[in-house]
Amino acid sequence: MTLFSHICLAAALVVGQSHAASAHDYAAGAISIIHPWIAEPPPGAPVAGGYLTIANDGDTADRLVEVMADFADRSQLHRMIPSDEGVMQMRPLEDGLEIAAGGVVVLEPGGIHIMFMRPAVPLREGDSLAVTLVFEHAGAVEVEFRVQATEPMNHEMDMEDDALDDHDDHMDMEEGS
Amino acid sequence: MTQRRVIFAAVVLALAVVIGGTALLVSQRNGIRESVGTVDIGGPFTMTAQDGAIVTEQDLIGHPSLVFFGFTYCPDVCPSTLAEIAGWLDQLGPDGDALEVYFVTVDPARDTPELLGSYVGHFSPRFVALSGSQAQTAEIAASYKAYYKRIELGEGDYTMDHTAAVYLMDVDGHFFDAITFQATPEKAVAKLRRLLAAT
Repeated sequence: MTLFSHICLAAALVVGQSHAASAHDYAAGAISIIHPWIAEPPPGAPVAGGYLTIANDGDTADRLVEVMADFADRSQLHRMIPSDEGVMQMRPLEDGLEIAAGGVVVLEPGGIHIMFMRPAVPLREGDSLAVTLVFEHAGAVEVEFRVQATEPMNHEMDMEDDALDDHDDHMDMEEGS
Repeated sequence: MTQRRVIFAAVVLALAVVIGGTALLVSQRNGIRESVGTVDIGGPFTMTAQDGAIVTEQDLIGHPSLVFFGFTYCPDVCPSTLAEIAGWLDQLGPDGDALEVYFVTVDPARDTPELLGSYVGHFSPRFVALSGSQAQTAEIAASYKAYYKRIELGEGDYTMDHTAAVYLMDVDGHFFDAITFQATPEKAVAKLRRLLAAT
């Protein structure tokens, strides 16, 4: 992340500590949940991708172990496995997603995501969907995922890319409310 | 003296094998990304577009094309890539009018022409979605050296592993280049401009 991103994240954490959720952040104990969003899927698409940033301000690691959404038939955490041959492989995170003590995990297009399967309602930009995130230590947190237009992918994940930073400012998202 | 010569020769031979082997490996891997005509991509296929029209490899001749393999039960990569492609076309503007974009499903069991039509239509009215029988899907994938595989997710759900590169085909229907999943829009548009200039 850039320095700007770090500053935004720090600001979000400071604000997110209080249980009066600011803009679009949530707190549960040492865990901060920042801007959960869903990429607006094509109409009638059978799945949608969910993303968010999770920060762990505590001394011990925590783990996101379950995602429950009434609007989707089934929700699963997935990661993309890198492959030299350019083959896309998506695999469930069977043991959930760990957030290290003092760590931050960003779920974003091309990386880790939540797959919401068979949404029962159309998902259109501006909609808010209730989702419960269950953490091993922090417990269950109810959040709202906001539907927004598909974000550009974070191309700085590519090692061989030149240092163009057009797409790296994901912290911009938390300012929208 | 002789023994030293033998050892020296053996070392030289081993080095040659390592260097040669590495060069071959590197060129093979680069081949699919950067080279023109050294990889045998492209070939016969018979698929159905979202409007029911039959599309074959002959229909690629006369205009440059983009070919991408994916499926609609793909929450992330496929919608992201289709959105990216739409962005490239926006950047090219009228210069890119001749480009045809084909989205080929590797999951015909779930992806009907109707579903595909509304799916790709969300990104651009220009996109053509192709589907076929399992055999036809296997044929087009083989022609494009595109990998795909069904992976179970339990409870009857499954996902598809698949090649994520976007293939660039020239006006003669021959392979021109590939845009990998990680390419920035700048790199992608530059490749498209070269494709269009070669027209």
